[in-house]
Amino acid sequence: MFAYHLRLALLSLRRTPAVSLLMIVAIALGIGVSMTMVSVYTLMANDPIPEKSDVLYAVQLDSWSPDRPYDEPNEPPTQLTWRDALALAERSPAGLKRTAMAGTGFVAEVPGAGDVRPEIVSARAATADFFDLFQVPFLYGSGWDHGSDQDAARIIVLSRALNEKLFGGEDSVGRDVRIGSEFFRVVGVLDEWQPTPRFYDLNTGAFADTDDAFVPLSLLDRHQQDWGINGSVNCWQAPSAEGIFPSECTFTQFWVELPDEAAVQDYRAFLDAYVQEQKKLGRFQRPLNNRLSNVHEWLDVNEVVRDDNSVLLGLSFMFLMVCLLNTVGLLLAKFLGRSGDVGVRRALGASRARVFQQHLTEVGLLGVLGGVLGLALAWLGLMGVQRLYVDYERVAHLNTELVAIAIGLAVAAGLLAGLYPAWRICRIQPATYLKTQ
Amino acid sequence: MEIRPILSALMRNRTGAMLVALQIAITLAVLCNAAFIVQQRLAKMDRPSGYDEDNIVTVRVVTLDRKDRDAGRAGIAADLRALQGMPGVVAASATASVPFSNSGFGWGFQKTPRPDDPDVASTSLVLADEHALDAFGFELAAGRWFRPEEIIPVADFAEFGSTSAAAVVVTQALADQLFPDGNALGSTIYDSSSSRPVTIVGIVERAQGYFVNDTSFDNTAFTPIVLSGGEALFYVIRTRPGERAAVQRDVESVLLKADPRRIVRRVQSFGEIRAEAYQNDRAMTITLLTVSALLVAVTVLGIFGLMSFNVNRRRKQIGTRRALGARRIDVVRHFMLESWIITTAGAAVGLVLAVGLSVWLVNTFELPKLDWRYLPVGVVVLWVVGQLAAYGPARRASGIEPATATRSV
Repeated sequence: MFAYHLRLALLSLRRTPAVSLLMIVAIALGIGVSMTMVSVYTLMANDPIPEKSDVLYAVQLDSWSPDRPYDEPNEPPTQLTWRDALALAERSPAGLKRTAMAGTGFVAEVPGAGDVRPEIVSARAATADFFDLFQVPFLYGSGWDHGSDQDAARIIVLSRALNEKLFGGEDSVGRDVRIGSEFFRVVGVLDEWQPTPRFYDLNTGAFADTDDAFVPLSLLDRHQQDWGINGSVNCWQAPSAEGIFPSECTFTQFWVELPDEAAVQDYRAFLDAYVQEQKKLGRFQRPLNNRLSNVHEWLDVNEVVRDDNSVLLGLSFMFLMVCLLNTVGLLLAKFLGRSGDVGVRRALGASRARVFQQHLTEVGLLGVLGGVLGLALAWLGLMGVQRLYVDYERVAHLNTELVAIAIGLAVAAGLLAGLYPAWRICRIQPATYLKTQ
Repeated sequence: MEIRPILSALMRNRTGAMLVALQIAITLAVLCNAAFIVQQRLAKMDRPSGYDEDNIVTVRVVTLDRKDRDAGRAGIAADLRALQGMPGVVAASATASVPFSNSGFGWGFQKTPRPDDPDVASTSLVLADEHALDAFGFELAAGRWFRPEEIIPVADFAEFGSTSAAAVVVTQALADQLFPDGNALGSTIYDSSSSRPVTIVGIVERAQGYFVNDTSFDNTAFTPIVLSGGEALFYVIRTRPGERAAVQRDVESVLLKADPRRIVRRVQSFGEIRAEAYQNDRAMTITLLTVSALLVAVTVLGIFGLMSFNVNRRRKQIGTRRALGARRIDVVRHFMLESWIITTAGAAVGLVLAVGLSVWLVNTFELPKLDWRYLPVGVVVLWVVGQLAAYGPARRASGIEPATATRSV
């Protein structure tokens, strides 16, 4: 029966090619535009670490000026001071995975490799748990242990891309990298790792590349003068001549894994106690205002999905609606235009349900054709989006999930648009139309 | 022209007309709000920066080996001489970050040394040497630029944080915010994080800061400090008109000749930096314009489709009217008027939708409220579009022979 309906549908499309094409184009435009926006939006609102996004928490402490908040209304700074991050890393209850970190940078070269150009490296200085906490995949070797954190061992973990550039992609564990006048031993090489958005540090852009290299945080302490901070440094009080590390400036991030609600409560109490203790030392003069945000909340706090994209998403659905209304109108005109045929079919014994099915099949076919063309348009749209934004390659692409959504949306939209016209046509009285003939 | 027969004809295909009217309503709502957002973004991108944008090249230099303060200073001076010597170069200057780059010092200045002074003016702080005025090409409105002996070399960021210059040059916008009465020149202001005093020695007409999305984008202050250790080093080079491209091409080799062991990055014209800074606004504008154009196209097709359908269905009636003495122009008028009525009904609903959409945008995204003048303009656009879409089918209707009335199908 379906095959028969399909044949009728094809016949009908061919009989009125102009109107059919118009409807397909309308559906395709609606799907193309809305899918472009949906793709960008969903990838921006993507969960970068689905297995752990509920249990990883970013910590904020309100160490800001007693005279004004970091941000209205009473928002604490998004980063920590160096000393607070170190203190939390050291004193957080045993058994909790945690990492303190900061972005930094240096120039790295391979000693003795004359033909390899020195590379500017954007690096992350972090404590040992970083790799475990964020489930970072390794190609060779591994991260480091807490002992290396303690004695500021000169070790380095390379990203796959940097290992490619410096060592041609071979297993470089055990080799040396020269930074300034010192040598650093490679202990691990990462596999491809690109959480999108790059939730763990959003300061240099939510869709930035992951870092090129990773070193123990204690190394940054020793290289305060020559490495510097790659990211934002925010100060409410000018740092002294000793620089930003012992100052009240914030430039460090801190993450902790809290497996359940009880752990969250305990950790809150721990943070409050820490701040109360610091208050006695004359720091933290603002009212208690600590925050724990899991990955979802953290992406919200940092407004990773731009308002522009939400606005465009909303408008694109209105666009889709106009396209659908258009299709409903055209279908209605087309179906009612063939009332005579339907009258004959009904008089010859076709049931209402059959007539309804027949027309819905036709509409479904239109939906599929419109959906396929719409996907092509969405692909074009995303190419356009990539051209418009420099850093959107990662956000603007179609994956299988989105393709499935697009086809589903097109067929659903088509059927929705066809429901009323098909219902109208199956309600006609055969007698009326037979008479006018 | 009688409206009644048109209305009664319309009522015969209510659903079709209503569907098209609804399309027009949504189209109007989207069109008005999109046009309003586009206009705002265009205005934002159109703000003058104060720099000689067409003739500026900037470049970042990364040294592999950190230098001490004085060696660094000498190296920078040598670089600047080399750059200055390039054909077509007007001036070159060293700084630590480039305006419009979304990266640099966000600072605060206030009129009193009190740490709890509520009136802090947010500003971009630009490190500048004695050549910066010529290298950026902005206009001095009052006072003077820094003298060579005023420039303080500092080794690194740590030393920068604890150094304060005695003099500062501010933009007119910053001067006006701190001194609405206009006596900024010669006044003392205070760094809000350290309460250290500085004296305003010059006022620049206009020089926009680092962050294009900041409300205080026009507030910029220049401090006579050069970061000489190599931690963050940018050169700003201004060329004679028409010579920018050549300088941009050659600057890397000139800088590498002085020191082959360093890395030269981000050789950009100011236009490129500006385009990157405004890329979101530009993308939003282009996307909204594209969607609006497609939307109007779909709506035109909708009106066209409905009118064509109506013409086809009423061939007999049209023939009859023609046979009874209606002129071709009467038939054309009939359909044009019908389209106008549908458009107007849709637009009436659309006005409400447009305001509703604007309220949603204002409440959810803190966008500014829709300027009401966009509404009548939108209605006029749709009237024109509606008439154009209906003209083809109306012309076809007027070509129907009176004899059609006598045929049975």
